[in-house]
Amino acid sequence: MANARLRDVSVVAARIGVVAALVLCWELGSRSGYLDPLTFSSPSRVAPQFVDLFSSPVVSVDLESTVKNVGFGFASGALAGGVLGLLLLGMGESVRGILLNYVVSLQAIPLLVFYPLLLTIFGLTRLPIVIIVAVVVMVPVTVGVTNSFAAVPRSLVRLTRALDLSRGTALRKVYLPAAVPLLFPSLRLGFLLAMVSAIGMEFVVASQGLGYAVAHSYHAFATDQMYALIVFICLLAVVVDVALTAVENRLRRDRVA
Amino acid sequence: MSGPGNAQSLEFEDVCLEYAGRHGVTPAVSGLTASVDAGRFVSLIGPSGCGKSTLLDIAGGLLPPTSGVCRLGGTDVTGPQSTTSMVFQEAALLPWRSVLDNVAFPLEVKGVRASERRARAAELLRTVGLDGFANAYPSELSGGMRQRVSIARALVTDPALLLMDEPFGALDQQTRSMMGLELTRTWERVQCSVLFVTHDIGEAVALSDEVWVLSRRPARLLTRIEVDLPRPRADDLPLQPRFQELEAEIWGTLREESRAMGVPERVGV
Repeated sequence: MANARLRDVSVVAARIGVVAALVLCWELGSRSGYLDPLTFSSPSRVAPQFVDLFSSPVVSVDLESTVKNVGFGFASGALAGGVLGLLLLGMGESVRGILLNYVVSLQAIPLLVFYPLLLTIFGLTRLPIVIIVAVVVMVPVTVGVTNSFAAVPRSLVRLTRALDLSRGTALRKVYLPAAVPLLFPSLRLGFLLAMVSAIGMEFVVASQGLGYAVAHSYHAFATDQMYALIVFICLLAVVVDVALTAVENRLRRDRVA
Repeated sequence: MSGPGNAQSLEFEDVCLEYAGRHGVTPAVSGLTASVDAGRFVSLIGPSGCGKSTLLDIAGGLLPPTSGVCRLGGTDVTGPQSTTSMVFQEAALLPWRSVLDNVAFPLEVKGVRASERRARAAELLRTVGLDGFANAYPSELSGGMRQRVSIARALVTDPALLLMDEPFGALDQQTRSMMGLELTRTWERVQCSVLFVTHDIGEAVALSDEVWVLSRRPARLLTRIEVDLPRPRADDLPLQPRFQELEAEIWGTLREESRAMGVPERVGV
């Protein structure tokens, strides 16, 4: 027991150590001139900017905007993907194969190219970004739902039939938890894509959002602020990923160990 | 109709089942008439793929027969019955639930109160000898223990009929014999009617009051053999001459069947 604890602590320590070493290399590289300070800045100059970020009202507007873009886009995309995935499951295996192909090939299309078109339809509002984020999220979620539910062991399907469970009960009590190990990675991928595409679009055409803020700092030669924003975005992504993992472990308590 | 406990009789009356497939109609069961009297333990044995499991699905209401009827306690079986429990070859446990919550699952979906269903589940875990494992997860158990959990789950609803589809088929021989012995002990206490599918002749004789020997597909009833061994069954059962006689009798019937079909001798063992 004590040994396992010690091992856990040293693993965490090693992980922190890796990050610390990278930050140190960054600082040293910048001070010694191996890294051009104008392009790469340095941790000691980014850190104070980081503090400023939270006191500036401008960035909180950007943060709110990005959270909304990602949040609305992810939520509606995941919902659409869930419904579409379940509809596909309800169809025969051959029909499912044909239709799923179309969904998957959506993934190959850089949906960002539709952004200008959506802009002309909806104007410079949040909607074009949210729509594209939703479609981007929908694809892996649809595939994830279909595949993870199709992979539920036949013995569990027989059990739901033998116990004469209603569709809703079977879904809630058996299929959904059984599908979690395969379903969750697709949700996590969906979230990652939502972040990437929302911030990417904010970069190009938007008047607010973290992507816009990064681009704006870049154009204003505010390199230190730009790095502070980049670090902030990274942290945000990590926090959400940790939260998703926690949800996953709650749904499948047997997998925590 | 009713025997000891809630046990109910199961009757098959001229049951036929045909599958409509790509190559026309395939008969799986043809004209089976037989009954499990209330509180009896009946084993179904026959060549592999002969339709034993199909018959179990019909009895469980999972599969409607093409013609004929199946009755439980005198009432036609038209769908899954709450008084029937099934045990499959795979334990089919929910891996994200503790052993206790797995056993309590059928009561939970019936809306039984948490305290009540947990008490009942704990009682059944004791019956199958797993009282120390209530909080364990299925992945922490051996194959034999998992199947015991699945049997406890089947019995938690106090069923009138227990349908078992080769429940020990995936276990090694030693565990299998132990589980058979335990099942007889448990069953001698709960006394529901049992229809037990197996392809192991010794297992069928050791556990049952009666063995039905089925033909190759489409399944017909070749013979019913009354197992007149005293209960509770002795631990050294396989050494008793009467046991061996019964085993030989079933073996002989199965061998004749494969000869009659003009196939090499390969009965399902």
